[in-house]
Amino acid sequence: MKREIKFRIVFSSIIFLIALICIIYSFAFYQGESREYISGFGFGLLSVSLFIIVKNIIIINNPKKLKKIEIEEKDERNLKIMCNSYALAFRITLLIEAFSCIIITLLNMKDISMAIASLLSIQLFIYLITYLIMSKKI
Amino acid sequence: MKNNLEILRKEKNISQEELALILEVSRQTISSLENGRYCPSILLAFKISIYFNLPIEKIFIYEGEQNEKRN
Repeated sequence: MKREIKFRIVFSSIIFLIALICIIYSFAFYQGESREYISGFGFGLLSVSLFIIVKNIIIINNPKKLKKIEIEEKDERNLKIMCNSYALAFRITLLIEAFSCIIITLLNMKDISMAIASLLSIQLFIYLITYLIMSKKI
Repeated sequence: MKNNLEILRKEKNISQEELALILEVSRQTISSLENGRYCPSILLAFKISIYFNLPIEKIFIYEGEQNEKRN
């Protein structure tokens, strides 16, 4: 678990650096219309990564908290809830996409319906690949 | 699936929190197990059985497929 926390700190530090570069670039070098978007993106990433770094440093220095987090993250019920939620969210997304694709086709908006249909196909294709991988693993 | 977890825990005079710490699961998992809302994995069932020093079938009572569907 300590290794995972250390990895999270390192990963968040990289994100922190990218965010810092975004902010510096947007204020010092970039003169285009998207300046506010880049700096906003940078500040968003900066605050989230800083929060994750601080949180994980606190956890790693507190063995009691580390154990609690480890239990919470490896708890089989929590993992099952997470898997079921992902599966349900995926099903709902597919249904929404399929229905909206039909409705948009009926409204004769071909480009949008093609875009949604492509997205749907990609999602189903990824599902098929992950299914094949998982069936070999388990 | 029914279980005697709550009775066994109370016999041992330990709280849900303490049992959760021993079994390395969350307190909510213990609560769900006791209420029969959640069926444990075989690994957790073995952990529970070893802790209470009882065979699994003395702790968990299989009631057939109909009652399994909600899990």
